[in-house]
Amino acid sequence: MKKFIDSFSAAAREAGLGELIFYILETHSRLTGVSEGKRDFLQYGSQKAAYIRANVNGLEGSIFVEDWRPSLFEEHFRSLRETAAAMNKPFKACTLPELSDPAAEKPEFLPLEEVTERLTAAEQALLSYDERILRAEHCMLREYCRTVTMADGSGRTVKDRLTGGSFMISAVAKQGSLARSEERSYAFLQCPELTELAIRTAAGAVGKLETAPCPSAVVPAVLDSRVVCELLDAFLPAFYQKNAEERMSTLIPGMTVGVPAIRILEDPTLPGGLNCRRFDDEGVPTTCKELVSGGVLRSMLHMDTGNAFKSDITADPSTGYSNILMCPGEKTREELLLAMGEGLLITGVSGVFAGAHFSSGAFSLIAQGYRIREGQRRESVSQITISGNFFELLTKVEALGCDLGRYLNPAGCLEAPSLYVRALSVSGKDGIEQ
Amino acid sequence: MILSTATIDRILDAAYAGDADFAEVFCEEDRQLVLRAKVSGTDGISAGLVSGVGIRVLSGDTCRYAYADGGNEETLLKLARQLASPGAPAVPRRPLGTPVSYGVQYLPEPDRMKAALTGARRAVDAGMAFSGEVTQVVARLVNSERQILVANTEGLLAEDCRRKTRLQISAYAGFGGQLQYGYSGPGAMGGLDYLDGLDIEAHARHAAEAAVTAVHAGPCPGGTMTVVVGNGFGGLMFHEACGHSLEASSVAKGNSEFSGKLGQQVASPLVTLIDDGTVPGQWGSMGMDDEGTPAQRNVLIEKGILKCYMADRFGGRLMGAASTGSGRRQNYRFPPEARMTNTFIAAGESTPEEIIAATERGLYVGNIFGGSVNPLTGDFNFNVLECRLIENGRLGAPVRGTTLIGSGGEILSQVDMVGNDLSLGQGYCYNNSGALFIGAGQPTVRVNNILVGGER
Repeated sequence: MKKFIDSFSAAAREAGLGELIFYILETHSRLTGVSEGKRDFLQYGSQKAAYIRANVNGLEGSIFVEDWRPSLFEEHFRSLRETAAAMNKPFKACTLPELSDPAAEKPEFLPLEEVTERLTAAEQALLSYDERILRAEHCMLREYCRTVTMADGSGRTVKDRLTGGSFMISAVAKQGSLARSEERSYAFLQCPELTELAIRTAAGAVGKLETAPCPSAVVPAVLDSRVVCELLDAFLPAFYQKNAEERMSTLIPGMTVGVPAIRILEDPTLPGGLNCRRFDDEGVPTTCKELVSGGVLRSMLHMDTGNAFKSDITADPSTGYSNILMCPGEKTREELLLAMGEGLLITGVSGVFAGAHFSSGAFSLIAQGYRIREGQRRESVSQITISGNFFELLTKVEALGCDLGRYLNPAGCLEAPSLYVRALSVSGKDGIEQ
Repeated sequence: MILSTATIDRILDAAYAGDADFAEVFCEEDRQLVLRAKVSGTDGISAGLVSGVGIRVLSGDTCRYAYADGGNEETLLKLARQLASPGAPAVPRRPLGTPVSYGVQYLPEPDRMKAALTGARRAVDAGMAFSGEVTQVVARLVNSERQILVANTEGLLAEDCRRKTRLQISAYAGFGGQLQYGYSGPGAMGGLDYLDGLDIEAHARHAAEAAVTAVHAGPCPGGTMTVVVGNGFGGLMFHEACGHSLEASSVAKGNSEFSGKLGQQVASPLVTLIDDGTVPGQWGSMGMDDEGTPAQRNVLIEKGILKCYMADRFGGRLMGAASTGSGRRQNYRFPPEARMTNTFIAAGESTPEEIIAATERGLYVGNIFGGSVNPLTGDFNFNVLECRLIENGRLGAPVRGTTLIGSGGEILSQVDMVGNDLSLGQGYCYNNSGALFIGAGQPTVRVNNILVGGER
């Protein structure tokens, strides 16, 4: 890598380009899959790609590079000049912070045979859970090590390293002609006990076999923590200063966006956080920010204050986040259900990427969950939609759970508790047995 | 291309060992340009070269895959050896044959950046000029010049050149403290000269009008109703409702509601569903798939009868069928899977006006934004835009976007009118083998008993 930076920098100088800033992403990953007691899928990934910003006569040019051949340097220089002219914005210089390098240099994945054994045991635990379990699907473990290196071309570099993984598994349950599936993904820093997670997945699939119709109504509901994470992820761009300035978000600091118990942080050093970062993708040191407290919007996310992140190696940095935390309350999920008494527990939603719009706050999503009577989980409901406005929903929160769900995506990680809301608009097939 | 034939030979030799019965090398070079323009000017540019290699080894019903960017032979040979098992393969591999080329070889386009920038700016200007209520227009121009090469142990050596251009226009409108959204996203298999023949201003005005209409619209009523879905990208309804359930990855393991139903009536006799990767100039078209099999036209459902599934090599192997030219992947970082190309419902005989006039009450859907499906249950959902109520056979008041849900099997049998105005729209499809360019189309179609997720 150093060799590439040195040779590219020297050639760029000769070509008349000014200061260069390198963002280099090295990813090593392994994906292992098991089916019917044997390893049926194995994937190794190795990526080393660069995103380079250059000072082109005072303007900023940028390119991404996956092919390091010097024969392509001229093409890269031409692209840098073209992007600088098209963007027509001043070059943004960067003073990299002084940080020590992370310790481990090489990814240390679990031994492959151990991963295979653990996945096989998880699959078996799922299959043995209940006689109505038909099969396990997508029983897979992904492990990764991502290293972000920034270099300013003058020899100074700074590094962040992220290691972790995720366990995916699906259960298919069948009773008579009715088949139901439950898909789960668990992101982690250290690989957890997989069989317990597999059993939870199996229980989810079996639980869906006892169904009840769900008429259209406005009802009290408890949103599972994972559902809250997904919704928060969809609406987070409304908290970006740039979107407000460009009239794509109506949020303004000082406005009420939830009940007083709502507190939301962007915390790049969150203990146990899956996406902790010491500097952003423009080399600016990251800091913890309080977005919402007491239900009031306190601040928004800015690119210039350590929240410039790339959605992938090819993209230019834009406003983003590291770890978003909606702070938990005190009640367990069971206590939330008891407090609600009658209503719905929403355990999953789909189609969030299309059915939730950050600019309007509106969402309309297919959902699944359970009927709740006397505070207890009863029959499952599916083929329903939930809809409303996310920010209005946060003003209808009666209580927050003490549980924390996690949602990891390429942009960052979100953690949020289950929420008990007093009114949620639900559409279902009235009177039709499902 | 980043690898020579000699290097590919060495990688295949290293990977094809022991229990392997098939090995493949996939090389890719993709010169990408993504440019984003807003009212304030050019908002962002992403330009560069995606370049890498994927190596796949099949052994019976198992798949092993490795990828690396760049074309470093040492790295690739190391990965190939990681995938290999000890010993010699049971059957020696065939030498690589004469290269087969698909697509049109091209030279890098001159003034690529200027053409992209001009097109995006025109969209922003036209969208903003539509109404004072338009608060922002974002034009995202995507241009890709992609060359792929596939070589395998059966002697195949094939390459394809794909050029794609798309202009995605998002308009935002504000009124009474609310913001709403409108969209148009035309695209094609072609270079930036595609923009020369495109009425950019009309697409921008369409997106702006949709946003302005939505910001004044009332909430959509919820419940089960008759839905008329307009032509074009409305075809995404069938992409979600049954297309994914006809892909080998779902069918092979019995994970599809359509598994084992070949030859059976699965839809209304009015429904003929086609997946066609050969439509000239279409966004979802290609010369060959990402396994080197020529793209083809597959009639999936004909007059309601299930005729075939979509298969890639591995999925086809698992269900005892040949590839249908459907093996696709986003890039070298994904092993291929059976995926759709351009999927559409064939034209019927009714005019769109006749369909609306024949509908006493219901919902008209002008555009579809996106959706997803659980192939096992067939439960699908998709978010719709540009909606109006239908009252007494006429288009009535606009209502804000909503979500339609249902089950694929149900919806196919509930189609009772098909229009004569077939057209295709453009979009992306996300699944295990990544984000793919797809076409989705239909004529105006009427479906009974769809559950509409409304707020009132």
